[in-house]
Amino acid sequence: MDAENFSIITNGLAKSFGSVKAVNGLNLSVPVGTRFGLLGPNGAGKTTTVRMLSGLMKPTRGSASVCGYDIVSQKSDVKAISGLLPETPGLYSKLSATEFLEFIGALNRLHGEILYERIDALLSILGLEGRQNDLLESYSSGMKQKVLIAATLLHEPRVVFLDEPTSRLDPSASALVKELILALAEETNTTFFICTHMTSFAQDICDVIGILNEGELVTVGPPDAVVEAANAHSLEDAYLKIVGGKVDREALLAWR
Amino acid sequence: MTGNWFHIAKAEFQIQTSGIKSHRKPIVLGFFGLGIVWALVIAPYLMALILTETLGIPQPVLVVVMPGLMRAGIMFIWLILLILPLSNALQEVKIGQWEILLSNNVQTREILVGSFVGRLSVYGLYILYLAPLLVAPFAQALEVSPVGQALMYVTVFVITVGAIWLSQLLVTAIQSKLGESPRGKDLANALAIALSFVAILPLVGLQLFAPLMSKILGMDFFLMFPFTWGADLVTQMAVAFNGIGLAIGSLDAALGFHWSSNALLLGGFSVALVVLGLLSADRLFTIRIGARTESVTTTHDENVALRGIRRVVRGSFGVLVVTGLKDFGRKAQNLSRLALLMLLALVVPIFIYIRAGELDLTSVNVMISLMLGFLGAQVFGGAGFLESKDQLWTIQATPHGVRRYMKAKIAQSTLLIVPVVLLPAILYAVLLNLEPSQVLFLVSTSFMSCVGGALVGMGIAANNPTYEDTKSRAYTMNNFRAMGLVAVSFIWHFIADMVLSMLGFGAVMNYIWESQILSILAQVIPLPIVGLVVVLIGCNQLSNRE
Repeated sequence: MDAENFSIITNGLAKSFGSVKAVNGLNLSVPVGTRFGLLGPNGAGKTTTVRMLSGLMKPTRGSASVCGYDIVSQKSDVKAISGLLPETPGLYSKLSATEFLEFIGALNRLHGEILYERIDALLSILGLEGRQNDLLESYSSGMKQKVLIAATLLHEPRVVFLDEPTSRLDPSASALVKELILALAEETNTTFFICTHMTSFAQDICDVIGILNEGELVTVGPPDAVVEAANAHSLEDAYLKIVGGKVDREALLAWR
Repeated sequence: MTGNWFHIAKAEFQIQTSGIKSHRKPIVLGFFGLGIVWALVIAPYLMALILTETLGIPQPVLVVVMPGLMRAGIMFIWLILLILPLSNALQEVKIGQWEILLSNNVQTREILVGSFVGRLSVYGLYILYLAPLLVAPFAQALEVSPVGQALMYVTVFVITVGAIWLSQLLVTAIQSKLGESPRGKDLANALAIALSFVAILPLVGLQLFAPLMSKILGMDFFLMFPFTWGADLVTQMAVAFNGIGLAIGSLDAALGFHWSSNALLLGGFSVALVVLGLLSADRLFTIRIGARTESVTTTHDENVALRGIRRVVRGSFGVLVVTGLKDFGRKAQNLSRLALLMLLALVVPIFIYIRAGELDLTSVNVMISLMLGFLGAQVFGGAGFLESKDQLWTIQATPHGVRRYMKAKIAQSTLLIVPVVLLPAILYAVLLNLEPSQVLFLVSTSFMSCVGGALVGMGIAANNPTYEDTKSRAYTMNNFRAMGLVAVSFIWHFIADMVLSMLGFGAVMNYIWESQILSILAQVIPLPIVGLVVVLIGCNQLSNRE
């Protein structure tokens, strides 16, 4: 296996919080330019995985590298070449979209013309050009999410970690983000590592799917292969078969 | 009302007593039982012992000072009961909760009544423990009959319950209005800070201006306030049912109103408040503003100062400093805290002057430096440091992000401190007729202290970020630590003096104390040094990964 062809490699990556094993022995290899979708129920360990891979959290066991940089000893290099869209927005309510992106750009050592050109371009692509000078406190949750997506892409990362990127977006904004991901992956060879609950979103844009359950990677492969292996008719069906959670209609009405 | 108020009251009670949730009922009932014993037996005995035996205050003196002290005491309790719940409630504008309640067919008046009853159980405990401290000494001194004492306590109860109701009404009104605005939370926080200072002002005033306060409290102007009617009524009850032969006739003329007028005014005010609350409650809250229709604040071109900073501090670091300054300056709570603490920095040395009768450079310098140290710790650390954990993740996700963020924070605080220290320095330069060199010295030492305090505040906040949660134990502890460190930094010289004397170097400290400049520096310099250490530790801790 030639490490240069892989954006993310993990070997037995694990994280425990006390007695709780959030992630347990994760082994993954994500090739450059891949759109990898990590599916799993709430509390499966998706966010913890992303936080470890983006250098925010120290693993309890195992190792991992992002674009060849070790996530423990070279965390600053990992941060420099990656972008993270967190699950919940951590915006500065008293800054405008332009000012917030300026701040994020500055944290990534960007300034001057190049920074402002990128900010304008990203806000325009995401349909925020008319509101860029309004304070973020007045933005809807979908608009905030768009600003965060812009913040994630601003420094042109080689690997992008997206934690629930479309959970707060309306269908048209969601479609826009899908197209943006596809375009960036195909045209610039950017690798996307996407955590999501939305099986339809994952099926539409990911070329590899991994399903995480109770901290363990239970299946990995192209969406069609995952569906076929689970003997299911769609990714959602496969997900429910693998993770559990098939709905019993009688039980649903038992409370009445 | 369909009884929804009861469920809201129960929920409010559970919130108020969440800290003791496993044994909620027995503990609260126990406290009430103990409170009754305290009010009827322990407090009267204890207060009599303290006032007449320990302090040796003669009974006739107590009788003479009773009206003034009763007015001051009741006013203090009334303001505390009015403002503190208001201040606490404003720290969390829970518009989401309102929407849930209103969508469940609950009326605003039910929210008002329910919240009031729920809180009354807890605030009632405060009244039970505080009121006897005020009532018992006079009941003892005047040998008031049990009926008279009961009437005194009923009057105090009416005044205090009225204050709690009024406070709840204001909370409901303000929350419903502020909740509509996207800036509501921010404005509410600013208001809460302002109110908490208003609450302590009477206490400070009583301490520093006791004669002046008693003069003002005796003026007719105060006859307009309900706490005065209540306080005078308590006094009149005590005298009417006294056992030492005092006549009530002359008292009415001294106080202003006949007891029946006071009773009527207090009763009328309380009933009017209840009616006003019930009638207006349902008009207070309306959901009408949505994401598309609400008022939006748009930013404009940067001002000269920010443009100047960009020119001086070039590159990405300059961008960090400027965006940090914008974020800080647009938060009403930051400005509120800054303005109030600055006001204290200006007036405290004057208070001391009024009390002690002297105003020299050394005391003013040390006093301003200490106040500005507190100001730095309070304004630049605490709630304004980081908004949320997610914000921290965003900063941590960038290379060396935390270190650069902290450096930018220090730079922006330092820039903001410059005008802050100039104001008190100019005031005292004029008041003390200082030489230019003395003004420069005053400005330098004030600046060092304020920056030192800011470093302490930021370091402690970085060590244990509490974000915008101002109700957590961690937030209180952070505040306590920051203020403690500032205070200790200013009194380290006592320890140094002792240690050096023990080691036989007592002459070193004597030499320092003989020089005005050295003695001021000895008190001021430790804070920036301590601040630097604390901020380095905090920065390291904030960079650490989980």
